[in-house]
Amino acid sequence: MNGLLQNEWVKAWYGRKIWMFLIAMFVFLILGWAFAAVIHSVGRFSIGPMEFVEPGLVSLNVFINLYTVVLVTTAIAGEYGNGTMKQQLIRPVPREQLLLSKWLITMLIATALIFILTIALLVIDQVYFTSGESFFAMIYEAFILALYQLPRLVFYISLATLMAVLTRSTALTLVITFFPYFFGNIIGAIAMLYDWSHWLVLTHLDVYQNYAGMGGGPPFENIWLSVGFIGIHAVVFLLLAHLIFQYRDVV
Amino acid sequence: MCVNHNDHPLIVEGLNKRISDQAIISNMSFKLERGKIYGFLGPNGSGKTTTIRMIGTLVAADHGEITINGYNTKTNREKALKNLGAIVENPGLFEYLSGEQNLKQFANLGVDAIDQSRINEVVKLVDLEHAIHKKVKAYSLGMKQRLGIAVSILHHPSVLILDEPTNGLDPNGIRQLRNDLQKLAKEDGVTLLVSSHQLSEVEILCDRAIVIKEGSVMGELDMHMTGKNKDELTVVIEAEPKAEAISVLSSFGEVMDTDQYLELTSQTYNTLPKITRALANANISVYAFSYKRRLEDAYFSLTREKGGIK
Ligand SMILES: Nc1ncnc2c1ncn2[C@@H]1O[C@H](COP(=O)(O)OP(=O)(O)OP(=O)(O)O)[C@@H](O)[C@H]1O
Ligand SMILES: [Mg+2]
Repeated sequence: MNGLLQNEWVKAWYGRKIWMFLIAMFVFLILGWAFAAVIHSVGRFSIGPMEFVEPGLVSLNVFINLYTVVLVTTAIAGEYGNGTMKQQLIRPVPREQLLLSKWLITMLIATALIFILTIALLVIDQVYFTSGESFFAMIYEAFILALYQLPRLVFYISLATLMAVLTRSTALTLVITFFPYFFGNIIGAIAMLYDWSHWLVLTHLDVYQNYAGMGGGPPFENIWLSVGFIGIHAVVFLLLAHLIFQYRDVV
Repeated sequence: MCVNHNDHPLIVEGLNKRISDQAIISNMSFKLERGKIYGFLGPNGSGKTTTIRMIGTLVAADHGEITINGYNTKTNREKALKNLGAIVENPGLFEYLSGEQNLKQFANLGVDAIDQSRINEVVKLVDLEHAIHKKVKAYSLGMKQRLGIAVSILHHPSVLILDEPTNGLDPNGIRQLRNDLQKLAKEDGVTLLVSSHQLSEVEILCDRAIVIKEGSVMGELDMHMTGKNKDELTVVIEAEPKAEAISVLSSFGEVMDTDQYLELTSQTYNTLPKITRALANANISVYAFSYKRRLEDAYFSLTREKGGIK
Protein backbone atom coordinates (compact mmCIF):
# COMPACT_ATOMS: atom_id res chain seq x y z
CA MET A 1 0.00 0.00 0.00
CA ASN A 2 2.94 2.30 0.71
CA GLY A 3 4.25 1.75 -2.79
CA LEU A 4 0.83 2.47 -4.25
CA LEU A 5 0.51 5.75 -2.38
CA GLN A 6 3.99 6.71 -3.48
CA ASN A 7 3.01 5.96 -7.09
CA GLU A 8 -0.08 8.10 -6.90
CA TRP A 9 1.88 10.95 -5.36
CA VAL A 10 4.54 10.84 -8.11
CA LYS A 11 1.81 10.84 -10.77
CA ALA A 12 -0.05 13.69 -9.10
CA TRP A 13 3.10 15.76 -8.83
CA TYR A 14 4.51 15.18 -12.33
CA GLY A 15 1.40 14.43 -14.31
CA ARG A 16 -1.29 16.53 -12.73
CA LYS A 17 0.94 19.46 -11.92
CA ILE A 18 0.31 20.14 -8.26
CA TRP A 19 3.10 22.69 -8.30
CA MET A 20 1.22 24.73 -10.89
CA PHE A 21 -1.83 24.74 -8.67
CA LEU A 22 0.34 25.83 -5.73
CA ILE A 23 1.69 28.74 -7.78
CA ALA A 24 -1.85 29.74 -8.75
CA MET A 25 -2.95 29.59 -5.11
CA PHE A 26 0.04 31.69 -4.13
CA VAL A 27 -0.92 34.32 -6.69
CA PHE A 28 -4.52 34.37 -5.39
CA LEU A 29 -3.20 34.78 -1.85
CA ILE A 30 -1.04 37.72 -2.84
CA LEU A 31 -3.94 39.34 -4.67
CA GLY A 32 -6.21 38.80 -1.68
CA TRP A 33 -3.61 40.22 0.63
CA ALA A 34 -3.09 43.28 -1.61
CA PHE A 35 -6.83 43.87 -1.76
CA ALA A 36 -7.17 43.59 2.01
CA ALA A 37 -4.12 45.79 2.52
CA VAL A 38 -5.68 48.57 0.43
CA ILE A 39 -8.90 48.42 2.44
CA HIS A 40 -6.95 48.27 5.65
CA SER A 41 -4.75 51.26 4.81
CA VAL A 42 -7.75 53.39 3.86
CA GLY A 43 -8.48 53.00 7.55
CA ARG A 44 -12.25 53.30 7.45
CA PHE A 45 -12.71 49.50 7.53
CA SER A 46 -9.97 48.07 9.66
CA ILE A 47 -9.56 44.32 9.44
CA GLY A 48 -10.22 42.59 12.74
CA PRO A 49 -9.25 39.08 13.91
CA MET A 50 -10.31 36.36 11.43
CA GLU A 51 -11.65 38.94 9.02
CA PHE A 52 -8.84 38.13 6.62
CA VAL A 53 -8.58 34.42 7.36
CA GLU A 54 -12.25 33.54 7.12
CA PRO A 55 -13.22 35.02 3.74
CA GLY A 56 -9.83 33.96 2.40
CA LEU A 57 -10.35 30.35 3.38
CA VAL A 58 -13.97 30.17 2.29
CA SER A 59 -13.25 31.61 -1.16
CA LEU A 60 -9.95 29.88 -1.96
CA ASN A 61 -11.36 26.61 -0.67
CA VAL A 62 -13.52 26.55 -3.81
CA PHE A 63 -10.39 26.13 -5.92
CA ILE A 64 -9.13 23.34 -3.71
CA ASN A 65 -12.45 21.55 -4.11
CA LEU A 66 -12.44 21.88 -7.87
CA TYR A 67 -8.79 20.97 -8.23
CA THR A 68 -8.91 17.85 -6.08
CA VAL A 69 -12.01 16.61 -7.89
CA VAL A 70 -10.03 16.99 -11.11
CA LEU A 71 -7.13 15.14 -9.45
CA VAL A 72 -9.10 12.05 -8.53
CA THR A 73 -10.96 12.08 -11.84
CA THR A 74 -7.76 12.05 -13.89
CA ALA A 75 -6.27 9.42 -11.60
CA ILE A 76 -9.16 7.08 -12.44
CA ALA A 77 -11.02 8.02 -15.62
CA GLY A 78 -7.90 9.55 -17.16
CA GLU A 79 -5.97 6.34 -16.63
CA TYR A 80 -8.71 4.29 -18.27
CA GLY A 81 -8.49 6.68 -21.19
CA ASN A 82 -4.75 6.47 -21.80
CA GLY A 83 -4.45 2.72 -21.29
CA THR A 84 -2.38 2.84 -18.12
CA MET A 85 -5.20 1.51 -15.94
CA LYS A 86 -5.25 -1.88 -17.64
CA GLN A 87 -1.50 -2.27 -17.24
CA GLN A 88 -1.88 -1.58 -13.52
CA LEU A 89 -4.75 -4.03 -13.22
CA ILE A 90 -2.62 -6.81 -14.73
CA ARG A 91 -0.16 -6.45 -11.87
CA PRO A 92 -0.62 -8.60 -8.75
CA VAL A 93 -2.16 -5.86 -6.64
CA PRO A 94 -5.66 -6.31 -5.22
CA ARG A 95 -7.97 -4.06 -7.19
CA GLU A 96 -9.48 -2.52 -4.06
CA GLN A 97 -6.03 -1.34 -2.92
CA LEU A 98 -5.43 0.34 -6.25
CA LEU A 99 -8.68 2.25 -6.02
CA LEU A 100 -8.27 3.05 -2.35
CA SER A 101 -4.78 4.46 -2.92
CA LYS A 102 -6.14 6.84 -5.54
CA TRP A 103 -8.91 8.07 -3.24
CA LEU A 104 -6.63 8.25 -0.24
CA ILE A 105 -3.86 10.25 -1.88
CA THR A 106 -6.41 12.75 -3.17
CA MET A 107 -7.87 13.11 0.32
CA LEU A 108 -4.39 13.61 1.77
CA ILE A 109 -3.52 16.22 -0.82
CA ALA A 110 -6.86 17.98 -0.31
CA THR A 111 -6.47 18.06 3.46
CA ALA A 112 -2.88 19.22 3.19
CA LEU A 113 -3.88 22.01 0.81
CA ILE A 114 -6.62 23.22 3.16
CA PHE A 115 -4.22 23.38 6.08
CA ILE A 116 -1.39 24.94 4.10
CA LEU A 117 -3.84 27.59 2.95
CA THR A 118 -5.03 28.17 6.52
CA ILE A 119 -1.49 28.58 7.78
CA ALA A 120 -0.58 30.95 4.95
CA LEU A 121 -3.64 33.07 5.68
CA LEU A 122 -2.85 33.13 9.38
CA VAL A 123 0.72 34.20 8.76
CA ILE A 124 -0.28 37.03 6.44
CA ASP A 125 -2.94 38.06 8.91
CA GLN A 126 -0.46 38.17 11.77
CA VAL A 127 2.21 40.02 9.88
CA TYR A 128 0.06 42.65 8.23
CA PHE A 129 -3.26 43.00 9.91
CA THR A 130 -3.99 41.88 13.45
CA SER A 131 -0.52 41.27 14.79
CA GLY A 132 -0.41 40.43 18.45
CA GLU A 133 -4.10 39.88 18.99
CA SER A 134 -4.48 36.60 20.85
CA PHE A 135 -2.60 34.61 18.25
CA PHE A 136 -3.26 31.22 19.81
CA ALA A 137 -6.98 31.76 20.02
CA MET A 138 -6.89 32.63 16.36
CA ILE A 139 -4.94 29.54 15.44
CA TYR A 140 -7.56 27.46 17.15
CA GLU A 141 -10.39 29.26 15.44
CA ALA A 142 -8.73 29.04 12.03
CA PHE A 143 -8.15 25.31 12.34
CA ILE A 144 -11.73 24.69 13.35
CA LEU A 145 -12.72 26.71 10.30
CA ALA A 146 -10.48 24.47 8.17
CA LEU A 147 -12.06 21.35 9.65
CA TYR A 148 -15.51 22.63 8.69
CA GLN A 149 -14.42 22.42 5.04
CA LEU A 150 -13.51 18.73 5.13
CA PRO A 151 -16.92 16.99 4.96
CA ARG A 152 -17.72 18.66 1.65
CA LEU A 153 -14.30 17.67 0.27
CA VAL A 154 -14.84 14.06 1.28
CA PHE A 155 -18.27 14.13 -0.34
CA TYR A 156 -17.19 15.51 -3.70
CA ILE A 157 -13.99 13.49 -3.96
CA SER A 158 -15.94 10.32 -3.22
CA LEU A 159 -18.67 11.27 -5.69
CA ALA A 160 -16.05 11.90 -8.36
CA THR A 161 -14.43 8.54 -7.54
CA LEU A 162 -17.73 6.76 -8.12
CA MET A 163 -18.50 8.66 -11.31
CA ALA A 164 -15.00 8.10 -12.71
CA VAL A 165 -15.23 4.36 -12.08
CA LEU A 166 -18.74 4.27 -13.51
CA THR A 167 -18.30 6.38 -16.63
CA ARG A 168 -14.56 5.95 -17.21
CA SER A 169 -14.76 9.36 -18.85
CA THR A 170 -13.00 12.43 -17.50
CA ALA A 171 -15.37 14.93 -19.10
CA LEU A 172 -18.52 13.12 -18.00
CA THR A 173 -17.26 12.71 -14.45
CA LEU A 174 -16.43 16.39 -14.13
CA VAL A 175 -19.79 17.48 -15.54
CA ILE A 176 -21.73 15.16 -13.23
CA THR A 177 -19.69 16.06 -10.14
CA PHE A 178 -19.56 19.81 -10.70
CA PHE A 179 -23.27 20.06 -11.41
CA PRO A 180 -24.34 19.70 -7.75
CA TYR A 181 -21.28 21.70 -6.72
CA PHE A 182 -22.38 24.76 -8.65
CA PHE A 183 -26.14 24.31 -8.60
CA GLY A 184 -26.38 22.71 -5.18
CA ASN A 185 -27.38 25.99 -3.55
CA ILE A 186 -30.17 26.63 -6.03
CA ILE A 187 -31.41 23.06 -5.81
CA GLY A 188 -31.22 23.28 -2.03
CA ALA A 189 -33.13 26.56 -2.00
CA ILE A 190 -35.89 25.13 -4.14
CA ALA A 191 -36.01 22.00 -2.00
CA MET A 192 -36.46 24.19 1.09
CA LEU A 193 -40.07 24.62 -0.03
CA TYR A 194 -40.66 21.01 0.94
CA ASP A 195 -40.35 19.61 4.42
CA TRP A 196 -38.22 16.65 3.28
CA SER A 197 -35.47 18.98 2.10
CA HIS A 198 -33.24 18.14 5.04
CA TRP A 199 -32.98 14.61 3.65
CA LEU A 200 -31.29 16.05 0.60
CA VAL A 201 -27.56 15.78 1.22
CA LEU A 202 -26.88 18.94 -0.78
CA THR A 203 -28.46 21.02 1.97
CA HIS A 204 -25.89 19.65 4.44
CA LEU A 205 -22.65 20.16 2.55
CA ASP A 206 -21.94 23.69 3.70
CA VAL A 207 -21.38 22.65 7.29
CA TYR A 208 -19.80 25.96 8.22
CA GLN A 209 -22.72 28.08 7.00
CA ASN A 210 -25.24 25.70 8.54
CA TYR A 211 -23.80 25.41 12.01
CA ALA A 212 -21.34 28.27 12.55
CA GLY A 213 -22.37 30.95 10.13
CA MET A 214 -25.58 32.81 9.63
CA GLY A 215 -27.27 30.30 7.36
CA GLY A 216 -31.01 29.98 7.73
CA GLY A 217 -31.64 27.12 10.13
CA PRO A 218 -29.43 24.01 10.12
CA PRO A 219 -30.98 20.94 8.47
CA PHE A 220 -30.34 18.60 11.42
CA GLU A 221 -30.33 19.09 15.17
CA ASN A 222 -26.57 19.17 15.51
CA ILE A 223 -23.47 19.23 13.39
CA TRP A 224 -22.50 15.61 14.04
CA LEU A 225 -25.73 14.33 12.56
CA SER A 226 -25.01 16.35 9.43
CA VAL A 227 -21.43 15.16 9.25
CA GLY A 228 -22.60 11.59 9.75
CA PHE A 229 -25.21 12.00 7.03
CA ILE A 230 -22.58 13.27 4.58
CA GLY A 231 -20.25 10.47 5.71
CA ILE A 232 -22.86 7.80 4.97
CA HIS A 233 -23.20 9.17 1.46
CA ALA A 234 -19.44 9.11 0.94
CA VAL A 235 -19.21 5.54 2.22
CA VAL A 236 -22.02 4.41 -0.09
CA PHE A 237 -20.32 6.11 -3.04
CA LEU A 238 -17.05 4.39 -2.24
CA LEU A 239 -18.66 0.99 -1.74
CA LEU A 240 -20.43 1.24 -5.08
CA ALA A 241 -17.20 2.42 -6.70
CA HIS A 242 -15.39 -0.53 -5.16
CA LEU A 243 -17.94 -3.06 -6.43
CA ILE A 244 -17.89 -1.64 -9.95
CA PHE A 245 -14.10 -1.40 -9.99
CA GLN A 246 -13.79 -4.93 -8.70
CA TYR A 247 -16.14 -6.73 -11.03
CA ARG A 248 -16.58 -4.80 -14.24
CA ASP A 249 -14.66 -5.96 -17.31
CA VAL A 250 -11.94 -3.70 -18.62
CA VAL A 251 -12.36 -3.77 -22.39
CA MET B 1 1.05 -28.51 -7.84
CA CYS B 2 0.97 -31.38 -10.26
CA VAL B 3 3.67 -32.00 -12.81
CA ASN B 4 1.55 -30.63 -15.57
CA HIS B 5 2.00 -27.08 -14.36
CA ASN B 6 5.74 -27.36 -14.34
CA ASP B 7 5.76 -28.23 -18.02
CA HIS B 8 2.97 -25.86 -18.93
CA PRO B 9 3.13 -22.46 -17.22
CA LEU B 10 -0.01 -21.31 -19.00
CA ILE B 11 -3.07 -23.50 -19.35
CA VAL B 12 -6.31 -22.21 -20.82
CA GLU B 13 -9.25 -24.59 -20.52
CA GLY B 14 -12.72 -24.29 -22.00
CA LEU B 15 -12.89 -20.51 -22.01
CA ASN B 16 -16.18 -18.91 -22.96
CA LYS B 17 -17.19 -15.29 -23.16
CA ARG B 18 -20.27 -13.57 -24.43
CA ILE B 19 -20.37 -9.81 -24.80
CA SER B 20 -23.78 -8.26 -25.34
CA ASP B 21 -25.23 -11.66 -26.20
CA GLN B 22 -22.66 -12.45 -28.83
CA ALA B 23 -20.25 -15.32 -28.37
CA ILE B 24 -16.78 -13.75 -28.57
CA ILE B 25 -14.81 -16.70 -27.22
CA SER B 26 -16.19 -20.23 -27.43
CA ASN B 27 -14.58 -23.17 -25.77
CA MET B 28 -11.03 -21.89 -26.18
CA SER B 29 -8.37 -24.26 -24.87
CA PHE B 30 -4.62 -24.38 -25.26
CA LYS B 31 -1.51 -24.78 -23.18
CA LEU B 32 2.00 -23.46 -23.53
CA GLU B 33 5.13 -25.50 -23.03
CA ARG B 34 7.75 -23.90 -20.80
CA GLY B 35 10.49 -21.91 -22.51
CA LYS B 36 8.81 -21.94 -25.92
CA ILE B 37 7.72 -18.98 -28.00
CA TYR B 38 4.19 -19.24 -29.31
CA GLY B 39 2.60 -17.21 -32.04
CA PHE B 40 -1.04 -16.35 -31.51
CA LEU B 41 -2.67 -15.99 -34.89
CA GLY B 42 -6.13 -15.27 -36.14
CA PRO B 43 -8.07 -12.90 -38.38
CA ASN B 44 -9.16 -9.47 -37.13
CA GLY B 45 -11.83 -9.82 -34.49
CA SER B 46 -11.14 -13.50 -33.87
CA GLY B 47 -10.63 -12.87 -30.16
CA LYS B 48 -6.88 -12.67 -29.60
CA THR B 49 -6.98 -9.48 -27.55
CA THR B 50 -10.05 -10.64 -25.64
CA THR B 51 -8.30 -13.89 -24.72
CA ILE B 52 -5.23 -11.96 -23.56
CA ARG B 53 -7.47 -9.67 -21.49
CA MET B 54 -9.00 -12.73 -19.85
CA ILE B 55 -5.58 -14.17 -19.04
CA GLY B 56 -4.64 -10.82 -17.46
CA THR B 57 -7.89 -10.84 -15.42
CA LEU B 58 -9.10 -7.66 -17.10
CA VAL B 59 -12.12 -9.50 -18.45
CA ALA B 60 -13.87 -12.27 -16.54
CA ALA B 61 -14.65 -15.47 -18.42
CA ASP B 62 -18.22 -16.78 -18.34
CA HIS B 63 -16.87 -20.34 -18.11
CA GLY B 64 -13.47 -21.90 -18.16
CA GLU B 65 -10.24 -21.80 -16.23
CA ILE B 66 -6.90 -20.13 -16.71
CA THR B 67 -3.89 -21.41 -14.80
CA ILE B 68 -0.62 -19.52 -14.66
CA ASN B 69 2.24 -21.47 -13.12
CA GLY B 70 -0.27 -23.62 -11.29
CA TYR B 71 -2.33 -20.74 -9.92
CA ASN B 72 -5.88 -20.23 -11.03
CA THR B 73 -6.51 -16.65 -12.10
CA LYS B 74 -9.94 -16.64 -10.49
CA THR B 75 -9.26 -18.22 -7.13
CA ASN B 76 -5.64 -17.13 -6.76
CA ARG B 77 -5.50 -13.93 -8.77
CA GLU B 78 -2.50 -12.22 -7.19
CA LYS B 79 -0.29 -15.33 -7.20
CA ALA B 80 -1.23 -16.06 -10.80
CA LEU B 81 -0.55 -12.51 -11.94
CA LYS B 82 2.79 -12.47 -10.15
CA ASN B 83 3.92 -14.95 -12.79
CA LEU B 84 2.54 -13.03 -15.74
CA GLY B 85 3.84 -10.15 -17.78
CA ALA B 86 1.58 -8.80 -20.47
CA ILE B 87 1.11 -5.93 -22.85
CA VAL B 88 -2.44 -5.57 -24.09
CA GLU B 89 -2.73 -3.67 -27.37
CA ASN B 90 -0.39 -0.81 -26.36
CA PRO B 91 2.28 -0.54 -23.67
CA GLY B 92 0.18 1.75 -21.43
CA LEU B 93 2.99 3.93 -20.12
CA PHE B 94 2.84 7.17 -18.18
CA GLU B 95 3.91 9.61 -20.86
CA TYR B 96 4.66 12.43 -18.45
CA LEU B 97 7.13 10.34 -16.44
CA SER B 98 10.62 9.30 -17.46
CA GLY B 99 11.42 5.75 -18.50
CA GLU B 100 12.94 5.04 -15.13
CA GLN B 101 10.02 6.55 -13.24
CA ASN B 102 7.73 4.30 -15.25
CA LEU B 103 9.75 1.26 -14.26
CA LYS B 104 9.58 2.35 -10.63
CA GLN B 105 5.82 2.77 -10.84
CA PHE B 106 5.41 -0.81 -11.96
CA ALA B 107 8.08 -2.07 -9.58
CA ASN B 108 5.86 -0.73 -6.79
CA LEU B 109 2.94 -2.77 -8.11
CA GLY B 110 4.66 -6.07 -7.52
CA VAL B 111 4.63 -8.57 -4.71
CA ASP B 112 8.37 -8.89 -4.18
CA ALA B 113 10.58 -5.84 -3.89
CA ILE B 114 12.42 -4.92 -7.07
CA ASP B 115 15.70 -3.12 -6.56
CA GLN B 116 17.59 -0.61 -8.67
CA SER B 117 19.96 -3.23 -10.04
CA ARG B 118 17.06 -5.19 -11.54
CA ILE B 119 15.78 -1.97 -13.10
CA ASN B 120 19.21 -1.31 -14.60
CA GLU B 121 19.31 -4.87 -15.86
CA VAL B 122 16.06 -4.69 -17.82
CA VAL B 123 16.95 -1.25 -19.15
CA LYS B 124 20.15 -2.71 -20.49
CA LEU B 125 18.36 -5.69 -21.96
CA VAL B 126 16.06 -3.51 -24.04
CA ASP B 127 18.88 -1.11 -24.85
CA LEU B 128 17.35 2.07 -23.44
CA GLU B 129 20.21 3.27 -21.24
CA HIS B 130 20.67 6.45 -23.26
CA ALA B 131 17.03 7.56 -22.90
CA ILE B 132 16.00 6.25 -19.53
CA HIS B 133 15.86 9.66 -17.88
CA LYS B 134 13.90 11.24 -20.73
CA LYS B 135 10.16 11.64 -20.55
CA VAL B 136 8.33 8.84 -22.35
CA LYS B 137 6.44 11.53 -24.29
CA ALA B 138 9.67 12.08 -26.22
CA TYR B 139 10.17 8.38 -27.05
CA SER B 140 9.72 6.92 -30.50
CA LEU B 141 7.16 4.15 -30.96
CA GLY B 142 9.88 1.52 -30.93
CA MET B 143 11.36 2.89 -27.72
CA LYS B 144 7.94 2.81 -26.09
CA GLN B 145 7.45 -0.80 -27.14
CA ARG B 146 10.83 -1.68 -25.68
CA LEU B 147 10.14 0.16 -22.43
CA GLY B 148 6.78 -1.66 -22.31
CA ILE B 149 8.62 -4.96 -22.53
CA ALA B 150 11.10 -3.87 -19.87
CA VAL B 151 8.16 -3.02 -17.61
CA SER B 152 6.49 -6.36 -18.16
CA ILE B 153 9.57 -8.50 -17.46
CA LEU B 154 10.68 -6.50 -14.42
CA HIS B 155 9.31 -9.07 -11.97
CA HIS B 156 10.72 -12.17 -13.72
CA PRO B 157 7.42 -13.51 -15.05
CA SER B 158 7.22 -17.12 -16.23
CA VAL B 159 4.77 -16.18 -18.94
CA LEU B 160 5.07 -13.10 -21.12
CA ILE B 161 2.19 -12.18 -23.41
CA LEU B 162 2.58 -9.52 -26.06
CA ASP B 163 -0.29 -8.28 -28.20
CA GLU B 164 1.06 -7.26 -31.60
CA PRO B 165 4.43 -6.05 -30.31
CA THR B 166 5.84 -5.41 -33.78
CA ASN B 167 3.07 -2.94 -34.57
CA GLY B 168 4.73 0.19 -35.90
CA LEU B 169 8.29 -1.06 -35.54
CA ASP B 170 10.81 -0.62 -38.35
CA PRO B 171 12.66 -3.69 -39.68
CA ASN B 172 15.59 -2.96 -37.42
CA GLY B 173 13.32 -2.64 -34.38
CA ILE B 174 11.58 -5.89 -35.28
CA ARG B 175 14.87 -7.72 -35.49
CA GLN B 176 16.02 -6.28 -32.17
CA LEU B 177 12.75 -7.26 -30.53
CA ARG B 178 13.05 -10.75 -31.93
CA ASN B 179 16.54 -11.11 -30.49
CA ASP B 180 15.38 -9.86 -27.10
CA LEU B 181 12.44 -12.24 -26.97
CA GLN B 182 14.46 -15.24 -28.09
CA LYS B 183 17.05 -14.39 -25.47
CA LEU B 184 14.36 -14.25 -22.79
CA ALA B 185 13.01 -17.64 -23.79
CA LYS B 186 16.40 -19.27 -24.06
CA GLU B 187 18.25 -17.74 -21.11
CA ASP B 188 15.50 -17.11 -18.59
CA GLY B 189 13.12 -19.88 -19.65
CA VAL B 190 10.31 -17.39 -20.15
CA THR B 191 7.33 -18.75 -22.06
CA LEU B 192 5.99 -16.32 -24.63
CA LEU B 193 2.67 -15.86 -26.37
CA VAL B 194 2.94 -13.28 -29.11
CA SER B 195 -0.07 -12.24 -31.13
CA SER B 196 0.69 -10.97 -34.58
CA HIS B 197 -0.62 -10.54 -38.10
CA GLN B 198 2.82 -10.91 -39.65
CA LEU B 199 3.02 -14.57 -40.60
CA SER B 200 6.61 -14.32 -41.79
CA GLU B 201 7.53 -12.67 -38.50
CA VAL B 202 5.86 -15.42 -36.48
CA GLU B 203 7.63 -17.97 -38.62
CA ILE B 204 11.09 -16.72 -37.67
CA LEU B 205 10.35 -15.77 -34.07
CA CYS B 206 8.20 -18.60 -32.80
CA ASP B 207 8.59 -22.26 -32.05
CA ARG B 208 4.90 -22.94 -32.40
CA ALA B 209 1.77 -21.09 -33.38
CA ILE B 210 -1.78 -21.29 -32.12
CA VAL B 211 -4.29 -20.38 -34.79
CA ILE B 212 -7.72 -19.21 -33.70
CA LYS B 213 -10.86 -18.19 -35.50
CA GLU B 214 -14.14 -16.89 -34.17
CA GLY B 215 -13.02 -17.44 -30.61
CA SER B 216 -11.91 -21.07 -30.91
CA VAL B 217 -8.58 -22.75 -31.49
CA MET B 218 -8.42 -24.12 -35.03
CA GLY B 219 -5.04 -25.78 -34.73
CA GLU B 220 -1.51 -25.62 -33.48
CA LEU B 221 1.48 -25.53 -35.79
CA ASP B 222 5.13 -26.35 -35.32
CA MET B 223 7.47 -23.83 -36.90
CA HIS B 224 10.51 -26.06 -36.88
CA MET B 225 11.39 -28.42 -39.65
CA THR B 226 11.17 -31.45 -37.45
CA GLY B 227 9.09 -34.56 -37.27
CA LYS B 228 5.87 -34.78 -39.15
CA ASN B 229 6.02 -31.10 -39.96
CA LYS B 230 8.54 -31.83 -42.70
CA ASP B 231 5.87 -32.96 -45.11
CA GLU B 232 4.16 -29.60 -45.45
CA LEU B 233 6.40 -27.67 -47.79
CA THR B 234 5.55 -25.64 -50.82
CA VAL B 235 8.30 -25.84 -53.44
CA VAL B 236 8.86 -22.78 -55.61
CA ILE B 237 10.53 -23.34 -58.96
CA GLU B 238 11.51 -21.17 -61.89
CA ALA B 239 12.15 -23.39 -64.89
CA GLU B 240 12.10 -23.46 -68.71
CA PRO B 241 10.32 -24.67 -70.71
CA LYS B 242 7.37 -24.27 -68.47
CA ALA B 243 4.95 -26.72 -70.07
CA GLU B 244 7.37 -29.61 -69.79
CA ALA B 245 8.27 -28.64 -66.23
CA ILE B 246 4.59 -28.70 -65.29
CA SER B 247 4.15 -32.16 -66.73
CA VAL B 248 7.18 -33.45 -64.81
CA LEU B 249 6.10 -31.82 -61.56
CA SER B 250 2.51 -33.02 -61.83
CA SER B 251 3.68 -36.48 -60.95
CA PHE B 252 4.66 -35.12 -57.50
CA GLY B 253 1.47 -33.26 -56.74
CA GLU B 254 -0.66 -30.26 -57.58
CA VAL B 255 1.18 -27.56 -59.55
CA MET B 256 0.22 -23.91 -59.50
CA ASP B 257 1.44 -21.48 -62.17
CA THR B 258 2.05 -18.05 -60.66
CA ASP B 259 3.37 -16.38 -63.82
CA GLN B 260 7.03 -16.33 -62.96
CA TYR B 261 7.11 -19.35 -60.69
CA LEU B 262 5.65 -22.79 -60.46
CA GLU B 263 4.50 -23.83 -57.01
CA LEU B 264 4.26 -27.40 -55.89
CA THR B 265 2.33 -27.81 -52.64
CA SER B 266 2.35 -30.47 -49.88
CA GLN B 267 5.86 -31.82 -50.45
CA THR B 268 8.07 -33.55 -47.94
CA TYR B 269 11.58 -32.47 -47.23
CA ASN B 270 12.90 -35.81 -48.45
CA THR B 271 11.34 -35.53 -51.88
CA LEU B 272 13.17 -32.28 -52.68
CA PRO B 273 16.21 -34.03 -54.24
CA LYS B 274 13.90 -36.30 -56.21
CA ILE B 275 12.23 -33.28 -57.75
CA THR B 276 15.49 -31.68 -58.82
CA ARG B 277 16.66 -34.98 -60.26
CA ALA B 278 13.45 -35.50 -62.20
CA LEU B 279 13.71 -32.02 -63.66
CA ALA B 280 17.34 -32.56 -64.63
CA ASN B 281 16.56 -35.90 -66.23
CA ALA B 282 13.89 -34.26 -68.37
CA ASN B 283 16.48 -31.72 -69.52
CA ILE B 284 14.64 -28.79 -68.02
CA SER B 285 16.65 -25.65 -67.13
CA VAL B 286 16.10 -24.72 -63.51
CA TYR B 287 16.77 -21.05 -62.68
CA ALA B 288 15.48 -21.03 -59.14
CA PHE B 289 14.52 -23.67 -56.66
CA SER B 290 13.39 -23.06 -53.09
CA TYR B 291 10.77 -24.08 -50.61
CA LYS B 292 8.46 -22.24 -48.24
CA ARG B 293 7.49 -23.43 -44.84
CA ARG B 294 3.89 -24.10 -44.55
CA LEU B 295 2.71 -21.43 -42.13
CA GLU B 296 0.93 -19.26 -44.64
CA ASP B 297 -0.76 -22.21 -46.33
CA ALA B 298 -1.60 -23.82 -43.03
CA TYR B 299 -2.92 -20.55 -41.66
CA PHE B 300 -5.25 -20.07 -44.57
CA SER B 301 -6.44 -23.63 -44.61
CA LEU B 302 -7.10 -23.50 -40.85
CA THR B 303 -8.92 -20.20 -40.89
CA ARG B 304 -10.90 -21.05 -43.99
CA GLU B 305 -11.89 -24.56 -42.97
CA LYS B 306 -14.96 -24.04 -40.87
CA GLY B 307 -17.71 -21.63 -41.69
CA GLY B 308 -16.37 -20.77 -45.14
CA ILE B 309 -14.59 -17.64 -46.24
CA LYS B 310 -15.74 -14.50 -44.48
N1 LIG C 1 -16.34 -4.15 -25.65
C1 LIG C 1 -16.81 -4.93 -26.62
N2 LIG C 1 -18.13 -4.98 -26.88
C2 LIG C 1 -18.61 -5.75 -27.84
N3 LIG C 1 -17.85 -6.52 -28.63
C3 LIG C 1 -16.53 -6.52 -28.43
C4 LIG C 1 -15.93 -5.73 -27.42
N4 LIG C 1 -14.60 -5.94 -27.45
C5 LIG C 1 -14.39 -6.81 -28.44
N5 LIG C 1 -15.54 -7.17 -29.03
C6 LIG C 1 -15.68 -8.12 -30.12
O1 LIG C 1 -14.97 -9.27 -29.79
C7 LIG C 1 -14.40 -9.86 -30.94
C8 LIG C 1 -12.96 -10.15 -30.68
O2 LIG C 1 -12.24 -8.94 -30.55
P1 LIG C 1 -10.69 -8.93 -30.27
O3 LIG C 1 -10.28 -7.52 -30.09
O4 LIG C 1 -10.40 -9.88 -29.19
O5 LIG C 1 -10.09 -9.48 -31.62
P2 LIG C 1 -8.59 -9.59 -32.10
O6 LIG C 1 -8.37 -11.00 -32.49
O7 LIG C 1 -7.69 -9.03 -31.09
O8 LIG C 1 -8.61 -8.67 -33.38
P3 LIG C 1 -7.43 -7.81 -34.03
O9 LIG C 1 -6.62 -8.74 -34.83
O10 LIG C 1 -8.17 -6.86 -34.89
O11 LIG C 1 -6.69 -7.14 -32.93
C9 LIG C 1 -14.67 -8.89 -32.08
O12 LIG C 1 -15.73 -9.42 -32.85
C10 LIG C 1 -15.09 -7.63 -31.41
O13 LIG C 1 -16.05 -6.98 -32.20
MG1 LIG D 1 -6.32 -7.39 -31.03
